[in-house]
Amino acid sequence: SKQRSMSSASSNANARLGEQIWQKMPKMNAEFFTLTYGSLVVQLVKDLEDVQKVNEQLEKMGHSIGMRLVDEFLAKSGVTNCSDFAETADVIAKVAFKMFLGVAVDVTSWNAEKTACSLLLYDNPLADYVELPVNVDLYYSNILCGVIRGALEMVQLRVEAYFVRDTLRGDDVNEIRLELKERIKDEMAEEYRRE
Amino acid sequence: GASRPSWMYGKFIENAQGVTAAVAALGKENQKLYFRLFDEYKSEEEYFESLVFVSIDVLDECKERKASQQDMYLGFLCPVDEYQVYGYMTNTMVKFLVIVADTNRLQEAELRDFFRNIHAAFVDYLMNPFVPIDGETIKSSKFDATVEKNVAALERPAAQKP
Repeated sequence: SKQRSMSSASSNANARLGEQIWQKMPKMNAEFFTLTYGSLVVQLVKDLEDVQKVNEQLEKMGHSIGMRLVDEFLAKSGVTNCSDFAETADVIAKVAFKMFLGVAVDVTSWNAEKTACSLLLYDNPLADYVELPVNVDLYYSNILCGVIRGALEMVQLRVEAYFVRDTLRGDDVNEIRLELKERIKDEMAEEYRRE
Repeated sequence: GASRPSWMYGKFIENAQGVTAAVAALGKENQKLYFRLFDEYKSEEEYFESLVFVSIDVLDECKERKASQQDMYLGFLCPVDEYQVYGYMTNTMVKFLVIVADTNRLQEAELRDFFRNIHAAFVDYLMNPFVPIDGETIKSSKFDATVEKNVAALERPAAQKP
């Protein structure tokens, strides 16, 4: 029988937690936020010229943000250990995306080994008002993939996150594929245990 | 205003379905940001462009009065042959024009709504970070769609036509 990745009760609890923290978070003007990110992307496009480099740079910047953001996340959310990767994905979707971007995200399309899934974003505040120039292979919101990768790296999970669908590129929904590559062994902890 | 060659007088379009002939947007220096013709009026592009030029003179007069004027809606600018031109100017000197076939059907409230919506669409367009601010022509499917929707709103439902 097919096991469900995450019991709906736990997922609903995560959604409620996300909503609660979102309510308490200080807010900023949405247009100013959108314009700030937009001017950053456009500047990168002008400076780097090669669109692939821009995609990489956005991901790198996100990685740096994620590494810092995860501590804020853990402190504000009170989330401790996730028992499995399915729970990790659910927490990212229901708690983290909600409290930082105010959006609801669904987790779907698990593989058999439960090591890869898709995050579906129906609403993306970064992309408000944006229309990409034609024939530009840009993943405008690639910073989000980096944030996920950086944050999970700090809790010993090495992942790959990448867009497979993007509304700015003509798709009907935004889909980030999230793949667990390995659990990072903590070298220091092992040595400590040996002593 | 400049005189026009005689063949440009009186371009009455037979069997035109709609009231709205054209919508235009002009920049600070009156450069053409947007110019769109509708339905059968598309056949007389040069003529309607000339109407836009004629309106620019009137708009420049409005600019002089701008300091004392609170309203961005300029209203009726000038009649030309069978057409009327209505205008709207923002505080950043961007102007919107609509050229309609001479008719008593359009009320001020409808035109105010029209221009307010076009202005809002223009603001949304400028929010796209890829759009250059230095007055290039507006290329946006979202903006086009909003203009179409608002032009359609100016038309009366067919049942009410005489």
